Amino acid sequence: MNAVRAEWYRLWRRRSPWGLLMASVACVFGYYVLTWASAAAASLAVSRGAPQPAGPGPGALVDALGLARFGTTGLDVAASLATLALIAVASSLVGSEYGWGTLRLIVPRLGGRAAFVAAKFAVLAAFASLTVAACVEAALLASVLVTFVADLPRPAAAALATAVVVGALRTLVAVAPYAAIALAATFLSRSTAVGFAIGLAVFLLEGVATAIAGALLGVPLVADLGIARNVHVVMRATPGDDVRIPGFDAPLALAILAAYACGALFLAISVFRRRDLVA
Amino acid sequence: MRAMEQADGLRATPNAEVVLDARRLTRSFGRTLAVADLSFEVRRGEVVGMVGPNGAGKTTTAAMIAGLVAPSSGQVVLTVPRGGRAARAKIGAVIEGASFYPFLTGRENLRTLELAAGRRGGSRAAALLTKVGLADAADRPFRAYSLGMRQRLAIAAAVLDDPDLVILDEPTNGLDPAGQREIRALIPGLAAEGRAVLVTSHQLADVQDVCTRVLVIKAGRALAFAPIAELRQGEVVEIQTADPARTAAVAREAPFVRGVTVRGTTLLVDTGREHVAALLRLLAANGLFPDAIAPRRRTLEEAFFALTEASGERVA
Repeated sequence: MNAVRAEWYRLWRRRSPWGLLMASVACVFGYYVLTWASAAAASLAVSRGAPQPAGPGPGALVDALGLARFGTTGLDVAASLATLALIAVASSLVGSEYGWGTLRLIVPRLGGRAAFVAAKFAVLAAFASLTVAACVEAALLASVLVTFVADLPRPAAAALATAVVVGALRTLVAVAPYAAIALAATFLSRSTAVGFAIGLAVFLLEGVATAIAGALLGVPLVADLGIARNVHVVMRATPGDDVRIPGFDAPLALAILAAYACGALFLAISVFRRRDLVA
Repeated sequence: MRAMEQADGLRATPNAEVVLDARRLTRSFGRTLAVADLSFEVRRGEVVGMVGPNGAGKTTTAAMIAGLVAPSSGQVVLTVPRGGRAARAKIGAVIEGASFYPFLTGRENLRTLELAAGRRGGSRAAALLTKVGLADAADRPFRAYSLGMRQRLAIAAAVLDDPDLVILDEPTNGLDPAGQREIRALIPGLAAEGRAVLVTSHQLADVQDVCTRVLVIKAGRALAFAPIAELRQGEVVEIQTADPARTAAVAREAPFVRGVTVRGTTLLVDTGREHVAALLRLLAANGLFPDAIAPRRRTLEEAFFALTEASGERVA
C-alpha cells in the first residue's frame, strides 16, 4: 500500500495526466459538436438545392448523437478517447521513471520490485476509472444537449441511469488491456515512445491483424481470442443484442480481457525483477 | 581542513559493528568482467572511500550493495543488531547522480519517499532540508535546483529513512569548488550520527578529507583496502628548480630514488627524508642548485597513482 500511496501522490502532483484527461473530455465534446455541425451544414446544403449525400443523411447523424443511442455512439467515443489517453499516461508513468533515473531513488525504498510494478498498475487502474468516468459523463452531457436541442426521443430515466453505469463499467473493462499492454511494453522497452507506439499499434491494428490471421490460418479462434473482438463483445452484449460469436458471451470475453491485463502485469513484474537499474 | 579533522575524530574502532560485509562480489556484463572477487566491509561510524579509475567498477559495486544490480556471484551481507536480534541494515543510497522527480519540489520529493517507506510525518523531511541548507528552496521545483542543491537534496534523501548504511556515488561530481566543499562538510556528520558511510569518488581530495579507510579498485579488482594514513605512508621530496628536466634526469640516477614526477618547475622525488642531503650533494655535483627542497608526506593522490600505475594503467 505504501508504494501505491507514493505513486498516487506523484500522479496527483503531475500536470500532464490531468491535462490529458481534460483534453479527452474536450475531445468527446468536440466529437459531438463537429458531428452536429456537419449534420447541420449538410441539411443546410440540401435545403439550398445540393444533392442528397450518399450514406446516412444528416438526420441519421443527429439521431446517433441522441440519448437513445448513447449506449453505442456515446460509449464508443468515450472508450476510444479514454483508451488513447490511457495508453499515453501508462507509457509516460513508467518511461519517465527511466528517463529521469528515479527508479534508483524509489525502488530501493519499497518492499520489493514487484511492489513498484503493482503500484504502477494499481494507480493506472484508478486513473483509468477517473478518465472513463469523465469521458462517459462528457458524452452523456453532450448527448443530453443534442437530445433536447434536436428534440430527439428520450429514454426513461431509470433505463438511462442503468445504461450509463453499466456502460462506464464496460468501457473500463474495454480500455484496461490496452493500457496494461502499454504499461508492460514500457517496462520492457524502458522507453515512453516505444511503450506508447506498441500500445497504439495494438489498439488500432490488433483487431484487423487477428481477423486476417484467423482467416488465413482457417482458425477463427485466433480472432475470437483477440482483444478487439472481446472488447466488442463486452461493449455490445446487452440483452436482446446479437452477440456474433457463438459461445462467446460477455463473462467469457471479460475473462479473456482480464487475462490480457494480468498477463501484462505478470510479464512486467517478471522482467523488472531481474533487470539492472543502473544506466 | 575542518572536514578532515572531523573525519579523523570519527575513525571507527576495529571492534565497531560491521554494517556492510561484501563477500567476493563479482559481476560481469556479457563477456566484460566489471567487478571481480571484491571483498570489503564498512563499520558503523566510519566513512569508507571507494576510489578507482573510470570504469573500475565503483558504481557497479555500489549498485550491487544497494540492490539495483544483482551480483553474478558473491554476497552482500547487511546486518545490524536491532531490538536484541540481527536485522537487515537499512540502506540510503544515491547512485549515478541526484535523480529526482522534476515536477515536484524538494519537499514533495522527500514526501513521496516518506510515503514509499510508509511514513507520514514530514517533520524529518523538513529538518533534513534545513540541515542540508535547502530550507529556503524547499518549495521550489526540483528542475529549478542548481547542481549543488540537487546533490544536497540527494544527501537528505539518502538519510531520510535513518539508514544504517549510506552510499554516496560520486557526490561531488560536476560541482564547483564551493559546492564540493559544502558536500564534503556534510559527509562526516553522517558517520558521526552512527552510520556506516560508503563514498565512491574519483575526486581524491574528497576521499582524503572525509574518509577513514580507502578501497582502491581497478578493473573491478581491489588493489588496496587500508586506512588513509597507511596508504599515505612514505614520503616525497619536493624540489623547486629552474631546470626541471636536467634535475629530474640526475635525480633518477640516484639508487635511493624510486621515481620522479615533473610538474612545471616542481619535481616530486619518491624517496625518504633521510636521503635529502645525499640528493642535494648529487645535484650540486652536477652543477644544479635547487631554489627549494622539502620532504613531505605523500598525498592520497600520489599513493593512488603509485598503486594504479604499478598495476599497469593510468587513470582516465
